[in-house]
Amino acid sequence: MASIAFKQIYKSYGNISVIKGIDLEIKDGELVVFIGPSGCGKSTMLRLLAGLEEEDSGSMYIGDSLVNSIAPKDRNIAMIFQNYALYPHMTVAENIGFGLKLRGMNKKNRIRAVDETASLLGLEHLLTKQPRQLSGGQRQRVAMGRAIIRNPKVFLMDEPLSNLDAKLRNQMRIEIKKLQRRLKTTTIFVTHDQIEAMTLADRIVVLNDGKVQQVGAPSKLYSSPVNKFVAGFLGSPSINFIHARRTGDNELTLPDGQCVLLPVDQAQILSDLREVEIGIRPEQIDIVKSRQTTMEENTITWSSSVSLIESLGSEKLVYSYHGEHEVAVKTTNSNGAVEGSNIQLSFSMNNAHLFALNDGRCLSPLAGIAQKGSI
Amino acid sequence: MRDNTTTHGKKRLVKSFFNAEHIKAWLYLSPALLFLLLFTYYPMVQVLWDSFFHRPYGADKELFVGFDNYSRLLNDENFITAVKNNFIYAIGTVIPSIVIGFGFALCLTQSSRFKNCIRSLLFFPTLVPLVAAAALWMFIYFPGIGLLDYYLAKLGIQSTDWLGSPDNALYSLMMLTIWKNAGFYMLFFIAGLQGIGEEYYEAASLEGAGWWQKLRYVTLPLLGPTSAFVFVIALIHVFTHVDHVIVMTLGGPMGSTNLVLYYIYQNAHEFNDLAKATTATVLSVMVLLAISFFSIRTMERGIHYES
Amino acid sequence: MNLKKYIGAAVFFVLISTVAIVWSAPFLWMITASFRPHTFGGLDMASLWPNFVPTIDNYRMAWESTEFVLYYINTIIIVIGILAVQLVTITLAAYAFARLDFPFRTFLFYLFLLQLMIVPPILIVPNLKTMVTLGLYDTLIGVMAPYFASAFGTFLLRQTFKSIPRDFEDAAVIDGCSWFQVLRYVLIPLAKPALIAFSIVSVVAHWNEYLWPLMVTDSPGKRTLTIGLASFTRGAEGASEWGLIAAGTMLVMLPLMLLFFAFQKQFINSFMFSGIK
Repeated sequence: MASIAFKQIYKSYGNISVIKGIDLEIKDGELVVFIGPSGCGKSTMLRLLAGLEEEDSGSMYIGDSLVNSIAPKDRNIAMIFQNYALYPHMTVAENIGFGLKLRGMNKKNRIRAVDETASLLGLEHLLTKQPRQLSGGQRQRVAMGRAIIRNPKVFLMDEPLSNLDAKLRNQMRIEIKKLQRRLKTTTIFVTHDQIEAMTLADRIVVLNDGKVQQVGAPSKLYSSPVNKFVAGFLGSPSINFIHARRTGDNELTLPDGQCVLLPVDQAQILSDLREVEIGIRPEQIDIVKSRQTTMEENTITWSSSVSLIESLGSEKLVYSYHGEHEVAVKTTNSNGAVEGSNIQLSFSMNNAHLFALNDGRCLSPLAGIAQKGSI
Repeated sequence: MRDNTTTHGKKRLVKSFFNAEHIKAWLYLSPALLFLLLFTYYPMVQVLWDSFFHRPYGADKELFVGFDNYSRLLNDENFITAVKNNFIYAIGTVIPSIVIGFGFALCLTQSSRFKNCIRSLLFFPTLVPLVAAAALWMFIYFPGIGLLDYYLAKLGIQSTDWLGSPDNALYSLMMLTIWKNAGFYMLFFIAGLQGIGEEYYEAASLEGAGWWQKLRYVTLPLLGPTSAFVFVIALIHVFTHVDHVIVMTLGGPMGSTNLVLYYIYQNAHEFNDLAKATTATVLSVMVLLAISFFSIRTMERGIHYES
Repeated sequence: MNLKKYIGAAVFFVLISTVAIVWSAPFLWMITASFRPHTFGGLDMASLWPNFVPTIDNYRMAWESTEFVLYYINTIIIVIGILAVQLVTITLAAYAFARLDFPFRTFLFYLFLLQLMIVPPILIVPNLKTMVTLGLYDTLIGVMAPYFASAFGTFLLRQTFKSIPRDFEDAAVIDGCSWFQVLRYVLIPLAKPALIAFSIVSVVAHWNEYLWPLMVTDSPGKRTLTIGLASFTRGAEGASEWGLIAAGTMLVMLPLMLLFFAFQKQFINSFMFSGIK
């Protein structure tokens, strides 16, 4: 069991720098998910911590020890790979016990340890099989077995579920979470799948372009993103953005000419910005009965024709437009909207996030506090 | 922040000079490189250097003679004959053995117990030492009672002096070479043919192509890279194998089976004219370099074509 | 339609069988002649039909008339020696080319490939000189040394290593492997088909090699099977002892022949594999 700390980590390949100064602390026993688009550096961070790549500068700690110059095998970590990397020429038992064999454990103890691990994961009947004889879920379990048998301080999981089909993915996700709860081993889980991130993580680290964008509990990241990137990356369908011009101290004008007055505290944060983007989650927009005209002070209302409706069973996704922006709405009450029909949409500015157009940072007060706290 | 990045850059620069990975790479390459250096690169330079020197009979040290060795070589009738012979030998073995090998492959691509057995029989000559093959074929060519004449006589064909006549000897050697290599090339073509997806033939069938059209418009173009590869292998073979000449004819009769490598061997081993052997080696190396240059380009084209 | 197909298959069967028999005729003759009694009339020497009581006299005489045992030992030492060193050099070099990044990698790779074209037999004259300088003339090491590095093997193995996902190595490193253990437990087992293919091709090539051993050895004690066979053949041909030649040839070929017919598929695949670039 150990905490993990990254301090001022830099890494580049040739002239391309992939990690641009990352500071991060992970608490003992925590399950942290790294998420970001491909090329954001999330896998590189794992490989750096594992010692498979060498950082250009910065320091990494596992527990109290600086691990920079420690060989991977002595860092006491275990890693699960995207394609599992089970040695094809070894049986399941040999795969699981390989690390112990290399550490010189005698055969008797090794067999006992393999048996214990196998029963923990329900692999007893597969021990003599070769990896190619296994199904995807079984391979995944063997890979887990190989990781947990050494009782490492840290688990590193590099998109371990991405090769499974959707149903199995959900099932394995739950198993991983239960196992982690039980073993209480500090875990870093890398994924690009936001549902995995939201459901698994104690804390999520959103990475983009080699930098940490935001760190926090899943619900906090969802409700208070610090910038446009985090807001857009989490949530499905993505948050909607609507462009707005500043036309007064606390007045914004939308492309369709509609004006909205901001509460004073929000307006202060705008300072001298001329242009902003309003971000609004699909579930925060309502489809209202047309001709409904009761308008609250800071509510935005407009009408549009429906371009597409997707049904998710209990909910519906209704796509329409605000000016040139496509707008997605997630609702249980579509008020009779059908494709091609005209609907009236509305949302309250109290639920919206404001982002600076120039650098994408979030201007809402709550998000501002979060930003100071994490970076 | 800016300062930070520059020191960071400096650190990286220093690192690349003492890069552990580079050192490791050179360490792992060094055994192979050492032997290549000693027995491939150095000799190539050495022969070139030596080809400008000559130690006349009785002299105690080598003298720089410029291109003298080259002019001596090119004025040596035996060498000219060897080059001519090698040329005929090349054309007369490479093309037939490739065509025959391809023909075999066409018949034997699909696996079955029977076909695998035939494949093995046709391939077997490749595994036999050229010296052993030459020993067997000496009897095959033996006038009158040899295998060839014995059975040809049953067809009413008169006995032929296969190896003893200057008109026949080179062609007799060529037959042996074709017999020995066709099965080898067959394997490459089988591998190539098995690599062509069935869907191409299905598509061609749908478009109404017959057997010949499929061969002409699907098989042959897609086998381009394989053919180029086999062609180069066959060419190299022609310049580097003369065991059968040594066993069967010793270059005779009347120089009719003298090949360039045999000429080199003879001058080095029997005539003690190292200067000529060396100079002929330089020319052979140049021909092979030219072939490699040409073939790397063809192969690259081939690869490009495949993808 | 069915009949036409049937006849076509029959014609194909007959034709291809005939070709195979004609192609194998030299070996059929070799086998027949090697068991033919010595006293048998010379005129029907070429007959492929074993119309006689087989005898092993030819083998006995061949075996006694030259130092086959010595030649066998020398050849085996050479073949195994070359292969053992090659396996080390090609594995290391192939690993470097497949996995490490270093300056001039592409250039060096092409430089290696040069040996595919400028094969050792073409360089017999300068290599002979080098062997004399190194004091390796007339030694078995001298016969082996030019083949210790193999461009072909390096290339084959590099392709194989490149096709193995890096994750296996990463997993092994995290499991606790040193570099050598990664090679020993992961890369080499995974590259086994390629290593076997290379070994077969190498053994066959050097078992059959003639010109270079002939050049670089002198004393009878250093001769190989092929050299022995060539001089033996020369002697027996003068005496028209064809049965003897057949038996001698058979003796030289026998080990590879037996291996081939025991591991036919493996051999065929190896040589096929050697051409897949």
